[in-house]
Amino acid sequence: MMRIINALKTNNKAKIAFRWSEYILLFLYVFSLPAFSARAPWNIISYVLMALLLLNTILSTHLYSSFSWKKHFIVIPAFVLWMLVGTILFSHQYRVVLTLFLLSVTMFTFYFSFRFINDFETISKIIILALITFSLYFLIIYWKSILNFNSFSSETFRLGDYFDNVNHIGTYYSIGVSFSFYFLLFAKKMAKLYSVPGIFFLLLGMTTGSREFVITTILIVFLLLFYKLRKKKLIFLLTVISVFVVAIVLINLPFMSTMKIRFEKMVIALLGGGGEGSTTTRFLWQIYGVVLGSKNIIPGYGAYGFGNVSGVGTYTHANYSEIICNGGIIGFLLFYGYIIYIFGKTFKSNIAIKHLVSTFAVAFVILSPVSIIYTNKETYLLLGFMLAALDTSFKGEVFGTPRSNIINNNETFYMVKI
Amino acid sequence: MKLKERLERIKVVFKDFFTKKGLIFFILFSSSFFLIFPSCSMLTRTRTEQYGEVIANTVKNNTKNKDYLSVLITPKAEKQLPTGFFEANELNGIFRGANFNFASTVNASKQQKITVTEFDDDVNYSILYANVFSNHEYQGHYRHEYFPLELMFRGNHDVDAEDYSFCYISVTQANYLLKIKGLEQNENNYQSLLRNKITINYGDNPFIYSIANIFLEQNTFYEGLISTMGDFIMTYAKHPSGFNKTFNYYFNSKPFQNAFLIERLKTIYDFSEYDININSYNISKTFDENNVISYFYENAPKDLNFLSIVLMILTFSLLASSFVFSFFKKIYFEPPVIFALCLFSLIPHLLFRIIYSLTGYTLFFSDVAAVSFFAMFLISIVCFLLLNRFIKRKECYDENN
Repeated sequence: MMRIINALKTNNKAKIAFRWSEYILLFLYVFSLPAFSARAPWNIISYVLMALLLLNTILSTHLYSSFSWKKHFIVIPAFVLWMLVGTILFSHQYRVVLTLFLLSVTMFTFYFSFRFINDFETISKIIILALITFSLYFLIIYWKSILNFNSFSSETFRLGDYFDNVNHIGTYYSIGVSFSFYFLLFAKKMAKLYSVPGIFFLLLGMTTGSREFVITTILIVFLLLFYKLRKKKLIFLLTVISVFVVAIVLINLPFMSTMKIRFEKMVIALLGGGGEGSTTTRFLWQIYGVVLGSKNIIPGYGAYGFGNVSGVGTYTHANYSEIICNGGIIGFLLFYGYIIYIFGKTFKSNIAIKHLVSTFAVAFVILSPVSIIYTNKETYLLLGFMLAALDTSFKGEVFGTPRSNIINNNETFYMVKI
Repeated sequence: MKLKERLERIKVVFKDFFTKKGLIFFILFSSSFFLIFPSCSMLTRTRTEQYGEVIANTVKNNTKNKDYLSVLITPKAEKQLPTGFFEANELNGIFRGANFNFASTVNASKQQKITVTEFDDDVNYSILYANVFSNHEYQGHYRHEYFPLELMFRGNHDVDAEDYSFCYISVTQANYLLKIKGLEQNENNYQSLLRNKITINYGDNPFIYSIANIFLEQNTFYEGLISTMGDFIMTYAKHPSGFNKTFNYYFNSKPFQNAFLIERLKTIYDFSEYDININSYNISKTFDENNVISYFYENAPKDLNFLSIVLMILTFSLLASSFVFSFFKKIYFEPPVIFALCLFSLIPHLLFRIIYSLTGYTLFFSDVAAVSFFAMFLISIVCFLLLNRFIKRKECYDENN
């Protein structure tokens, strides 16, 4: 066995094969997340790809890199464990805890996979390509609806529920827009072409009718512009105004009718006009979740605790409220403490993509009142990415750092070799 | 570091903390956490929560299905209730799982007699009344314009000259009519029942109604109506005199939801102009109804509310002053001290929770107090970390200079 391992370690072809397997499995898995993971029985494809990716990552890391322990690895498992405590005591929704456990495994898989690849350009290409492939699949399913212009004015014109909750599909598209826009702003020369798919993601994201997609995308675009232009205040201001004007023009186009109606209703409801049951009701549920969590402050009510205890029968639709209710103060501190830790680490970091990492961290916090993120697969994809970026300092010549050399990959920053 | 050394270090840390300035900080800090619960006890909101809890317990102990308690709002002399359209829309799905908070009815308490000649039974029907302009269609289903009832058809509300008005009947009632006619239960035959006439007897007075639709008997709202007022039929919002409309609000076993509903009722109704009574239809065990409804007739004691707010401000001020004090006195909080302070600050939470469990009085452990406590706890942790960072930086700066 040791001879085989040593042979593989020294064999360059094997190294290339493992690396390419990693790329392909990562691409397939990221594609399968929006495409299959929420559709039984096709979600089995997602599970199988996850298992294969995990196996390949373990082997690749063992053969050509090494595992190293970081103190922060304990946080997400501790969060899951704490949810289990509350679940045992109150909600008994063990399936949700199992989901959280699998999501934490996903996060570590992504983390070590991204660390093994160690090249932001490659990682981004894989993610963008996977989302382009998903978008083509999306078009195949919905081409009739998209070409049927009469349906654009319907309030119920929201595409994506064939695959998953439309808001989740919107989130995947906003991730695509984020990576594309980052290339547009920060990459050099021809690498800026990776921003072109961003337009595709933007348009298809609009067809989901997801307000979360719009809010997330605007937020991330704004933050990235801020990081890019913060020393040129006038240009930043002019850019923001231009983006705002473009957004106003876009939202008045026929195909944006659904989105416009939904935003109008949301604004009216937030200004006390009432009538938009979805927005006012969700706000009430947030308060309800915080009240329940505050009263059971230490253990919370466990996974899906709000849905069980409140009588509402669903989640609060706000991440912070859901975690307070389900995980109590400990769960809240673990989850949000981790995000703040990541955000804080970007200040001390010199990595080329620290702005993207801090943007995602800020987005997690700001989006907490409008969506549930702690049970989403895309959250753990991004967490794995952010942590790997901070711990590894991804290479990538598009941002001025040397490209990772596949043949002579000397990874000297690991502390422990297994 | 070995365990013994760690323990020695912790001893030194705590010894340093329990100096005069440390004790002053500790007194200010801990007293704020102890005070927050009593300071919120006199709020109007807290009293509302208390009644929400009383109603929740009544639902659990005194109703047949332990799900709902129905209260009836009727206007006093000369006052007319609106149609209920606005209220139904506002409350529809507000707490999704139950989705049963409001209905506008006639004879919900079964104290009058309403029968239907064609059904040939001795059932005393209640009426769910509604103005209808246009029912909703959604993915091949039909739903009532504002009640969350599923319908078989969109509904044809045309009436003939001799009709008093139109009505909706249930699937069971429709099946009975089909059985009498010797027809099978299929969509065409159900459709053929529309524009048929039935006679609804209000007391001894018959009124002709045209069947406009058939409602399905299959969701939470329907089951809630059946459990709280029994069999019912649905008619247009027009009734003979003497058969008065009532607004039904449905409380359940969740105190927070009840408190929300109580606040809403106290806001939108002046109970000098309206009566509120409990619908005894689904009561299994008698109880003192005053415990439930007396609060609606009370006026909020504004002085106590104001006093409570002042005490809450004082409590937050104590917390703020403790950190301001530690800032000016440059008290550095070692991690074991922060941990110990956080643990200690949970003691009042536990203490008041025990008191609440033993006495059942929400006054000692209100929602407002619990949320305020949570916020104070979080703010404290942030303050500890920020203060330490600031003091450390200042010390480094002072050393370098």
